[in-house]
Amino acid sequence: MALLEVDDLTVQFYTEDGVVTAADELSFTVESGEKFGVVGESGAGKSVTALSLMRLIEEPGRITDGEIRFKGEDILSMSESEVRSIRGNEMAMIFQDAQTALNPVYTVGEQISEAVRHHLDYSEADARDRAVQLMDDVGIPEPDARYDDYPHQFSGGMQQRVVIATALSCDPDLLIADEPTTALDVTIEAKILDLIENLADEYDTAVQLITHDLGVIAEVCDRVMVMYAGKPVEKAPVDDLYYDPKHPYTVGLMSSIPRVGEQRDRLQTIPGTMPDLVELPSGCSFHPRCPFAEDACTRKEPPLVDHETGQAADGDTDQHVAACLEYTGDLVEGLDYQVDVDGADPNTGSATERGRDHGA
Amino acid sequence: MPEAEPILRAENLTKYFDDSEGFVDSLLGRSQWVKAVDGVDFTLYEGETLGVVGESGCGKTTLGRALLQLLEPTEGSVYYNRADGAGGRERLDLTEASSSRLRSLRTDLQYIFQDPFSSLNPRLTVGDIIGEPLDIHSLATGAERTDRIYELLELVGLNPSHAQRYPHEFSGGQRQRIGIARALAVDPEVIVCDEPVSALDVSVQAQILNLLEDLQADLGLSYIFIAHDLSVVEHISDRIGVMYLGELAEVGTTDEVFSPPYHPYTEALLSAIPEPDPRWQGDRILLSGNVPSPLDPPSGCRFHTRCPRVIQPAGFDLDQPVWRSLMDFKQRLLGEETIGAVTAVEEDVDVEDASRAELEDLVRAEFDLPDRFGGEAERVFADAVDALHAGDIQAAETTVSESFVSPCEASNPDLYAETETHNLACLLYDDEHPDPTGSVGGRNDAAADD
Repeated sequence: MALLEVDDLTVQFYTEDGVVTAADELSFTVESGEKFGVVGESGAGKSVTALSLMRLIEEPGRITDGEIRFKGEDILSMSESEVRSIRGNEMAMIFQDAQTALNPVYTVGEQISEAVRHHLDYSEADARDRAVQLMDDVGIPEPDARYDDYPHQFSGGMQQRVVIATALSCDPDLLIADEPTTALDVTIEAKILDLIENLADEYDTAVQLITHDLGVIAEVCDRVMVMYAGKPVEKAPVDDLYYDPKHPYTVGLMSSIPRVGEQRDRLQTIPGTMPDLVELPSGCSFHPRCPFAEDACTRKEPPLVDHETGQAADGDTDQHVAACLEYTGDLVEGLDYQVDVDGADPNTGSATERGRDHGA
Repeated sequence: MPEAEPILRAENLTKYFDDSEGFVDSLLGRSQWVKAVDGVDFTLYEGETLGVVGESGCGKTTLGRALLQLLEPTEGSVYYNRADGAGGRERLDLTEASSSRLRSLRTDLQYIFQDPFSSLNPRLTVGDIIGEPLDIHSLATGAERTDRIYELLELVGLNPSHAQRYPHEFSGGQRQRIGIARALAVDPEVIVCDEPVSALDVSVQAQILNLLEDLQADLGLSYIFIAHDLSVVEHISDRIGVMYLGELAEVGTTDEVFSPPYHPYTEALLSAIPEPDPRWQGDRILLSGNVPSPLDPPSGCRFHTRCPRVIQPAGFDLDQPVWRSLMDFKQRLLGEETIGAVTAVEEDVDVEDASRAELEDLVRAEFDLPDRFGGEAERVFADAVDALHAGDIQAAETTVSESFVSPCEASNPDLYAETETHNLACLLYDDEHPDPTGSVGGRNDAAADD
């Protein structure tokens, strides 16, 4: 049994403009101790997915369908107090914007120890010791003195460390990190990612890392799911996804990132923008932007299938699945693209080319 | 390609902000100055893109604004070589220009803002947003104005029929295109692009970068491209300036600055970029500490408080990481008042009652110091721990600040010319300050170090 199993999760927001389906029959699993990445552009449904795992979707949003099983128990059918006992305890979250995640009128130490006192029944003094220890673990200098500081006295990177310490305070089994480094500078980002990786290994915590940055996923994760317009379009172990992507959207995403040390004059782009979630295009949602779209793509919605066998995804974690009609044999022309994962070393400027051709 | 005469040149450009709080402070003369941009010199040549990178708070945006006099510089000059219409060029000092003169010069100097959501007036239609500069500078009226608006919309890849719509009807990428069209309306020569793609998704970001490059090729624009994302800057720039705490640390062509990196700060920035390649094996350089406050920047080289290659004083021959840790130890001691600042947190050990040996272990653990590093440094370290154990933090401070002194703290390196186009401010590469120990990488083994 996987640590977290999500089946056919559907989340809808009832807005004035119509019903927005932010997550559409989404299924995935996270094994214990695993680092699972979710990548996509804004509006792909990444954060909504994360929030629904903690049952934090607020009005006008609603989880309309599906099942979320954490350690075999269905989160959606739990009572509010049962969910509260899991939230921040066995399952914790790191938010993108540390400044808004922290309460400005409580000291940082207070915010870290609150979870410990609440969930683990620590005494006041023990909770303080635990919080100081955690602050030291996440690399906050002089934790004992800074325990009584307020969030505004911390820099952005230090605030994010406080959020991480809070999330780790009850030794969770699953840590959900929603764009944990997006607001930070690269030098701080490198440190925070390093920290999340090391702590996850040390505490044997599974991590679900949500980001728009393929570089961050490559560095941290074991497995990755690419989302587009509320649906997963590809799911694979990281190596397979980066070196042999199977969905045209993944390919487009990767070739639109500028890389240091490459000699391309022009970036490849994905034409157009993410569709309006109220009125999704018929068939494959990606077809208006896809360079390989055919008539069939406008009519038939592609299922998530194994790219080799064309069989529906069966939940095997090593499986490489993609939602493109190419793999169900519905395309006439097929796909034709080339991927270069150029392992150029910026320090030496040398490049080792690794490429793969995809003939039609 | 760079030509002999630059189109824009900044000399000793400086912008300080007053950080004193309110009337009482100013009455008592208690003013504090945030040194956002501190004596920056650079040139921009016609038709090129000069990238400016640095972490948040390094003064990139202030630099861009001070260049175009959107902020009045505290000191320094900005020279603009304006085409005089007869094939020649006249040199103008923008800092001396009157405000009406500046206003007319804005037809040559334009700005693209970071946030496409707050930089467009929500009450104006897209046509009026783009038409506004035409009205202000009386460039076009009536049907000519409408035609120009349609032309501009097409130029940036939007549909002319969009002219009647309002900004909220557009996505982030489309809004950024509107911002670009507005900047282009006056047919400028120089555009300062301040983080034009950082608010956009990667696929849209690539579209805008390509658009900016196409426009430059078609219209002969010169860009100053400000961004925090090194891979974006590397992609679009001909030359790059790296900023740190209000100063230029390095400036040169993209190849000179990045492959291989010379300045330790550039090197660290480059190594920190997360590579979209799961088998990436590069070593990340993790900088110690935080960016210091621009209110009171460090003495000497401003990067010395975090620099992994900070120079050792004469007579020291430590492993570089050990030396870095000792410098961290010193800075922490000087900056904080309690012993807890320099010791690791260990359950069951109270630093106040710890034995001498326990205390030493805690300090070593906090700064990742090895059990022994030997030599003079070891002796000084032992003295400092003795003083700490005796509870005399003052004495410990004196001990370390007398012995652990890097040449980098003493002298602020000038921008030293490595080649004709490549300047960098780092003592490691300065011939006039030969590395006193010879133990730290200089110019020749800069690449070998990696």
